[in-house]
Formats: sequence, structure tokens, C-alpha cells
Amino acid sequence: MRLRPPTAAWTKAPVRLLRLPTLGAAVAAGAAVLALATASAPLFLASAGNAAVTLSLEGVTPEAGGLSVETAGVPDRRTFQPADAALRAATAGVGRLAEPTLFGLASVFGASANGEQVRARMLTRDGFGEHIEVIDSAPGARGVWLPDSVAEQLRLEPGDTVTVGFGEEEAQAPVAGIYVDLRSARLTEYWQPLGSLFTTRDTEGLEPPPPPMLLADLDAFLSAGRTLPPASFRWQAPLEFADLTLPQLRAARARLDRIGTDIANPSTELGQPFDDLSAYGPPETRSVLAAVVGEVDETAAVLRGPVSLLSLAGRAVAIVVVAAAAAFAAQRRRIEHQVLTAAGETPLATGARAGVEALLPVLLGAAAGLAMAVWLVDLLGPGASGDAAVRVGAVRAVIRNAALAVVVFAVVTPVAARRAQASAAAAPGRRLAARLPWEAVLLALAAASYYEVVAGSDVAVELGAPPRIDALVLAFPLLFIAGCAGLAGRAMRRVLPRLRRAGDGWRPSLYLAARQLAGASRAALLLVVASSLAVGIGVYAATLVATSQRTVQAKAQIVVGSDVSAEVRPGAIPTAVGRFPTTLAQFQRATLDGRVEVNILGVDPDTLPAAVNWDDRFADRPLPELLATLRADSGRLPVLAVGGGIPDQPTLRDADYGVPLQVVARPQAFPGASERRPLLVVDARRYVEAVDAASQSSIGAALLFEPQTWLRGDPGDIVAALEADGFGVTDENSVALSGFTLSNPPQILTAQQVAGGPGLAGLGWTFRYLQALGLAAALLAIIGLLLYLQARQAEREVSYALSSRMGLSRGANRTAVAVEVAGMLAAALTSGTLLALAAAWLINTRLDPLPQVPPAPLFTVPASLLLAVVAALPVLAWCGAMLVQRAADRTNVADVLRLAAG
Amino acid sequence: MKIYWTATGEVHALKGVDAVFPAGTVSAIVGPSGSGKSSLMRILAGLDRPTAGSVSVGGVDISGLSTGRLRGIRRRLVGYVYQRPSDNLVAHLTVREHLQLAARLKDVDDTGDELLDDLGLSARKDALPTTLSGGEQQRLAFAQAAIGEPVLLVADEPTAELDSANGGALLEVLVALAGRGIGVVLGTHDPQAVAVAARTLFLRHGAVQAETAESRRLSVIDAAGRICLPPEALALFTDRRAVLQLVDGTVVISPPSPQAAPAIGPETWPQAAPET
Repeated sequence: MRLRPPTAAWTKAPVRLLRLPTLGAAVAAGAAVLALATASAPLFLASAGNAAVTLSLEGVTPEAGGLSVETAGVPDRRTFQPADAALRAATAGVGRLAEPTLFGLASVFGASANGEQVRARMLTRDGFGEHIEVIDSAPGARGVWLPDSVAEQLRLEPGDTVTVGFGEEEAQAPVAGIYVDLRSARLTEYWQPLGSLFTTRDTEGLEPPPPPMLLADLDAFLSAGRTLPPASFRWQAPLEFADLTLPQLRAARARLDRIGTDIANPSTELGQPFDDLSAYGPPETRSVLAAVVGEVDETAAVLRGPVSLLSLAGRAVAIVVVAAAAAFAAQRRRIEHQVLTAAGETPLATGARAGVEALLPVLLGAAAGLAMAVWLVDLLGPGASGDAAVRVGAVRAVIRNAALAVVVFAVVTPVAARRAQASAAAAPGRRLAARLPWEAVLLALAAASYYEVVAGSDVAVELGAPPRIDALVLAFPLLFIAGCAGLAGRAMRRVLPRLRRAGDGWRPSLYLAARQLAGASRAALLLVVASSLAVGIGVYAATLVATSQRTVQAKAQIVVGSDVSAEVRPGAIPTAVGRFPTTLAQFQRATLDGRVEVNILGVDPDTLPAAVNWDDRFADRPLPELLATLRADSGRLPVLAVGGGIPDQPTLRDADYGVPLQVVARPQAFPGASERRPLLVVDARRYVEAVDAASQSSIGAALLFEPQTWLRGDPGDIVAALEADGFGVTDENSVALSGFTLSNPPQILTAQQVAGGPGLAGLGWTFRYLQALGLAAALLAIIGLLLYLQARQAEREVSYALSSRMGLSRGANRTAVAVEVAGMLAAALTSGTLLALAAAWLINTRLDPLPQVPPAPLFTVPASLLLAVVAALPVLAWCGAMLVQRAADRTNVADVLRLAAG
Repeated sequence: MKIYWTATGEVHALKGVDAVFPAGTVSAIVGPSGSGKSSLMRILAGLDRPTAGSVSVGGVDISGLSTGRLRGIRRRLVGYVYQRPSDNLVAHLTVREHLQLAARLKDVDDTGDELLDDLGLSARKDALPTTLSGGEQQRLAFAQAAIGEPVLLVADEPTAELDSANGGALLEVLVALAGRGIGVVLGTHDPQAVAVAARTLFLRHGAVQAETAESRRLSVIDAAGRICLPPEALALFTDRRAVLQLVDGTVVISPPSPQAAPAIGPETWPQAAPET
């Protein structure tokens, strides 16, 4: 085969589409969508993973998140030092893990001097010297530090010697200094985790105080070691959480797991010295990282399916756009293909050359799509962007799919070119195929998806696991909107030509606009349909996000009671009560009719309405009216019943009494309801009176209530007020140095904490991804509009050239274009919005993230978004008209008419 | 035979056309719109297939060839020129590049310079089609089709969009191409084009009505023995009945009416165009 230089048709091919801006832009747009859908998925999943890490680590201290190794053994230098060195060497290579700090505690032994003896303990801890109040010390001395109470009792001063011993063994230890006994001092943050070593919870003096604590540096501790009882050693290596990414978390977890395995295996380099040191079995290693990684993995698993589906749908749409661009290009270049086909060019050559033509626009579009994906994920992603490995993977995927786009363009072009030249008298088979509406296929698939969703379960919820979204729940609306948008396009094709008969007597600009719309080509209507689909996806995503956020917030507020709840009576938090609406909510468990377990919520009807967030959809009447029914006097105590299984007239039963109740209303949701059992809401005062009257117990019903104060307002401000009252927000995940915590503080819980947990957050993140794609789709709709304007530019120029000679003004022409564009945009916006809202309404009830917790999903229309779009419509229309008018003003009428004739 | 399927039913575009277009001559196909001219030319050029019958180009029966082999025939043996000059050209290729591409497709080493000289386009080698006049565009189209000296060159109404001067010049080019041994077939209404043609085929309702060759106009007798009369002769037979008489080896066809109708003989046929 001879190699000859390529012909001009080939050498000009790489830049061919750049000289046909409309076609080039269409191909680039398709490639951009493809790259966006390809890259956004892994980047978003990485961002969500990092956000899940941040959420899961909230309330976890660096110590708890790191590594804790505990063992007990004789504090002998010969066995301790090898173990200590081995552990420090093992942890040195773990990224983000700080060097371990050591804590050692020898329990009770005897300390004596000058004929006096005390029972004492000895503690060594890295850096203790900076956290004691020194009374006296020997300069540069090393040894043990005595609490002032011991120094006084043994009549010792710095520089003296104290004898320590356990059993028969004794040793002499130099006194390095004297410090204020921590048993009588206010414990600083450094000592608080060890608080129980220095204080007791007994406030009545029934328990003896703990033995005094001698503090020693490690050397002194080990020197005295043989004479001490077996000591507890703990190494604590905190993990640096700042900007911790999921890959880093996984790597750290893997390393810590390996350390935990090795340390328990005496045959390993790490396990062997600990086997020598440990007197009571292998050391215990602890880290919450495994649990954190598990929680993050669960959240990521929730996201992976829907995000992958959406990415796949986006890629499929993009390939269709590229194929459509190829077909559009073949139609526009029909003459060129006709000439080459007549000359005998093969479809393979036509396709190969088309592939070369598409290469540059595809690369430019792919680069733009990749940049858009990075920007959108940075903008809307829930967490930090993925690391370099994620980005490299995304780039590789984009390149692969860009190659696919080029292949699709190359394959479709000759096929479309042949069809463009085919005889209009098609064979019967092809006529039938052309009549088959593709919309029917999509709607059939949508109906099947919807049936599967309705017949199946809601958002799948496993107890304790994050909610999962059925992929069909996301597939249905996309198919539904696409199918209906296509049918709307067909309807427009039939309806628009009727505009030709209208317009008599209209102003010239409106008349022109009507004619332009009536003559809208198939390609123009295809752009409207595509824009409608883009708008639909955007509005659907925004609706899901708004509904999800509103519903999750409402559920969180139901669970918590209001914005913040505190397990104290209002009197204990005067500052907070003074600034925010509050109410006392009192809970009690009870049994109805001897078999139905319920929660009783006693409320104050006067203060409750102002202190809770009420949505009128929770019940069939406003809250004040609902609470007024609790004052009814029918002989039975009126109650509101939330949840199923409560008869209309139950009886509250206990061992010695029964209180007849009357259900006066059944709201769908009420603050304080939980998923565990039904809730009965009562007027607290009337309830106590009724129970006390019926019961013969000496313990009043009021004492059986567990009080909560509900506060409504900005959670940050409320928490600050609570802190001013001496209460801080706690989290059950909060883990200090294990075993040494202060007494449990009252539980302060915010709705934000509940709503923002990684489980529910994952659901919201899925919808945010959909929203990101919707935003991109909206941008593409604008590009589609520009393509539409560009595609009709030539005929507009001819039309304007002729019309202006007949007296049409620039302003009238501009107005005509603006009305035409506004008409197209309005059609796309209206159809897309209505379809999206319909799809979201249909699917809404199947997206309950916590079906066990009321209320049901609160359908929320993204009104602000729709208003913004409606406001943008005339702006876009006018901008488009300005562009068209400027182009028309620059044209040479003679050239336009000559070319049109030619 | 060629039948098309449309939304309203079958269309019989060609109903049994029997014709020969010799190499090295200019042949014209004449007929009103809907007579089947374009269908016949597309079949001759290998751009369409007959529903029935056979087509032979350069001794090769192309009627049964696969799509790929038909494409090869178009490359090597056939050149086709569309009616509108701009429909034959690629907007972004220069004159020289058009011939280069055509030569490459036909797999011939011909820069086309001689052809451009013959066609008067040498001075416009680097021009784009949009800067050429209609006549120049059409001449380029023929140069492109003729490069590599195909066996057959088919052109649909090549002078329809040219003025008489340009049209005449183009016809001279076609005669010159025929002089190179290329068989040139023109679909035309242009009397100038008919005048330069050595053979003319008259089509009507998808069938050959008459044919002129060697300055004689011949009516076509089909296999069933039916003869197609020219319109002016047909007008004499108002009731569509004729009396045939064989007189001294001459077939005389006359209306059956009692009025004396002039006998139709060779001397009363419409005369063919004089040779040029």
C-alpha cells in the first residue's frame, strides 16, 4: 500500500469544526457534559467521604481517635524499655499519629520517712511538671514529687529521701519537690480525665478520700519499680484530625489494626517485648477509628449507587448529545457528504475524517467539563476535594470517555449522512420505524420504574444504618421528564404552525415573533426539549433538596422537641430561658390497657406553641387549637395520640390505678415523638392531678416525669446561653481518656446535631449531587439557546435584510427576537418545571429518610430558585436579542442576499 | 425498471427503459418533469439500483453489485455532476484541492493541471468555490468528475443555472471530454445541449418515447410491439385507434377516420437537429 500525503480534506479536518462554530459548539457541549458526568462522580464521592470523616469525628477527641495501648506489669526498666521502644518505633510510621505519651500508675503501696508511713500511689505522666502548683523544689532535682499533705505528714523537704515499698521490698527515692495536693485543688484540663484518681463523687463524706498521689518522672518510676505493685501503663498516641481525608483515615486505621494484631502476637517484633512486660495477658489496644471508618463506609455505600446511576444517566445523555450533534452536522453538511459519496468515498473514510474533525472540540469540551466538575464539587460538595489520586483517576476516566465521544461522532456521521441523502420515498419498514415515538419507550420505562418503586419499600432503612435510596427512585423522574418533554415537543410541532393564522393586526415585532415560532424547525424544537429536560432536572433536584432538608429538619426537631433540648428544668438555665422561648416537656413511660407501651409527654399548653417549630401539615388544625382540646372535660383525661395502635378510649394502667383517657386528636407528628413507641400528649398539670387522684402511691406522678426544657431559636446562640449557665453541649460519641471522666453532665441536644449526622447527611449529599448536575444542565440549556440563535442566524440575516428595507426598525426586530427567545425559554421553563414538580410529587413519599419518625416528607417547592429563574428569563431573552441584533447590524445586505440566492 | 415507495403508494419512475450510451459521445436524456430522467441518471451513475433489469457500465454489470463494490464502480468508472453548481463542491476546499481529492478517491496520479487548463480554470487554482462564478463552479464540477477519465460521466441539467454564454462554453467542454473517450450523458431541457448530443433519448411517463441517433428520430417499439408516437402524431388519433398498412416495405399508420388523413411517413417526421 502506497503512503501518500493526506489530501486537504484530511489536513483541514482537525480545525474544520472550529470554522463551523455552531457545530463545533454542539460537539464541545456534548463532550463537556460527558466529562462533567464522568469526573463529578468520583470527585463528589471523595468529597462526601471526607465530609463523612469530619462528621463522624465530631465529638471524638484526638486521643480516642488515635491509638491507646494498655497493659499491666511490674514497672521494671528491663522489661519496660524494650516494649516502650518497640511501640514508639511502630507508631512512628503511621501518618497523622503523634508520638505516644505515657501514663503509668502504681496502685497502693507504703511511703515512709522519719518514722511515719502513709498509704500512697505513684503516677508518672509525660509533662506533669508543667501542670502542678509547685510549693517547693530542689533545683534540677529528679525523683518523686510529694503532695503537700504527704510532705507534711512525713516531715520531708526537697532533697530528702522517701522510702517506698510494697510487701518485703523497699527502695529509696529522692524527693524532687512538693506540690499542691490535687485532691484539694481545682483540676485543670490536663488532670480532668484522671479526675476520679483525685476526687470522689460522694458528697456526704461516706467514702474515704483516695490515697495521695506521688508523681514521678519515668526514670524515678522505673527505679522504684521493683518495690511497687504491678502498675498500669497506658500509651496514648493522638491522631491529628485537621483536614483528614478518607484515604488517610483508611491508611491510619489499617496501620493501627496491624499494630493491634502484632502487639498481641508474641512472635512479632512488637509483641515479644510486650509479652515480657505484661503480667496479665496481652496488652489491650483501643481506637474508635474502626467504628469511624465503618460509619463512613456505610455513608459512602449509601451514596455510591445513586451517584453512579446519576453519573451514568448524565453520560448517556451526553453520548446522545454527541450523536445528535453528529447527525445535525451531517444534515448541515449534506452537500459535502453528497459530493464525496457520489465520488465513491467509503463510510469508513467519512467516519474517520469525522473523528479527526471532532477531536479538537471534544478535547476542548472535555477540558471544560472536567474544570466544571472540579468547580461544582468544590462549590457544592459536602467536604474537602479528593486528593491527587482521585483527581488523576477522574482525568483518566474523562480521557477514556472523550475517546468514546470521538468514536460515536465518527460512527454516527456516515450513517446520518447516508440517511440525509436517502430518497424521501422510504421503504415501508423505515417509515414505520420513523413513526415510533421514542418518548413512549421512555415513558414505559418510567412507568415500570414507578411501579417497582411503589410496590417496593421506601428509602430502605436498617436499624442503625444510614438510609439507602433505591436507584429506581432516581431513574423514574429522569425517564418521566425526558419522555414527557419529548411529547411536549411533538405537541409544540403541531400547535406552533397555528400561530401562522394568528397575528393579524398585531404589532410588527409580535407578528414577526409569531411567524418565527410557527416556523421553528425540528432542530429548534429539539433544543427546546433538551432545555426543558435540563430545567426539569435542575428543578427536580432543587425540589428534592428543599424537601429533604425541610423534612430532615422537621424530623430532627420532632426528635429533639425543638431547636435545642436540655435535660434540666427551666430554673437551672435562667440565662437561656430569659432570652429564648422555652417550655417544660416532661416524659414518662406508661402502659395502656396493660399491653401497649407508650411514652407520655406532659406539656404546658400556654408555653408550648412559642417554643416549638410547628408545621401545619403535622395535624389537621393549628397547634393552639390542638392544645385547646386538652382542656376538654368529658370525664376522661383528653390526650393527643401520635402513632398507631392507640384505641380511642384507652385506660392508663399501673399496678394500683387506672386512668381513663380520651383521644381527642391524632396528629401525624408532634414534638417529642420518637420511632420507638407511640406518644400520648397530655396537659402535664391535669395528668398529675388525675394520676395522683387515682393512685394510692405516696410518690406523686410529678416525680416520675423526666424533665426536658425545649428552647427555640438559633442553636448557636442557645448553646452559648447554656454555657453561660454552666452547661455545655455533649455528645455521646465524646470519649475522653477512657474510664476517667467526670460525672455525666445533663444531655444537651440540638436538632442540628441530629439532622447533621453522617447517616442523614448522606441522603442530603446525594440530592446535592443531583443538584450539581442540574446546575450544569441549566448551563447547557443556556448553551442550547445560544446554539438555537446561531443556527437560525443566517435566515434571520436574510429576513432582517429584506424586512429592514420594508421599514422594520432595529428596535422592532430586537423585540421580535426577544419575544421569540422568551417564548422558547418560557416553553422550556414551564414544561420542565411542571414535569419536575409532578415527578417529585409522585416520588416524594418514597423518599422518607426516617419513616419511623414523623412527619412524612414535607413536599417543598424551591420557590426562591423558581423566582430567580423567572426573573432571569427576560434578561436572557433580551441578551439573546441584543446579540442577534448586533450580528444583524454588522452584516452586509448585498452579501447576505447574494449568498442566499446562491 | 424503478419503483419508489411513498406515503401515497408506489411510484413507477421507470417502466422498462432499454438504451445504450456509447463511450466517446455526448448523449442527452430529454423529457418533462416526472418522466424518470433523474431516476435513470442516478441508476446509470450507480447512485441507485433498478428495481428490475440490468445496468452495465464499461462492460461491468452493476445492477447486482453490493454497496461496497458499487461504491468502487463510482470511484473508478463513473463521474456524477448535480444540477446546482454549488451542490458539487466542498465549500472549504480550493479548486486544486478538489481535483486532488477526486484523484485520490479514484486512485490516480493526476494533479488535474491539464484538465484545469482545458477548462480555463488554471488561474483560479487557489480559489474557494464561493468566490467562483456559476460557470466556473460547474466547470470545476465537471473537472472533478472527469479526472481519471471515467468511462461514464453523468450530469443532471448541467446548464440549467447558467446563462446561454456560459452554458455554451460548458457544452464545448463536454464535447471535448467526450473526445477523450468519456461517455457523457446529460439530463436536460436545454435545446443547446440537445443540439450537441449525438444521441437523444426522449422519456415520457417512465418509458422511452423516442430516440434520435445519427440525425434520425426513432420511435421505440417495446417487447410487446407497442410503439410510442410523438405528441404531435398522437394528436391525430383522437380515438386511440389506428389503421396499419404495409406498403412496399413501409408501415403506414393512419387514423381510422373516413376523412383523408395524410399518411405518416419518414418525410413527415419532425426533423432531427442538424449535425454541428
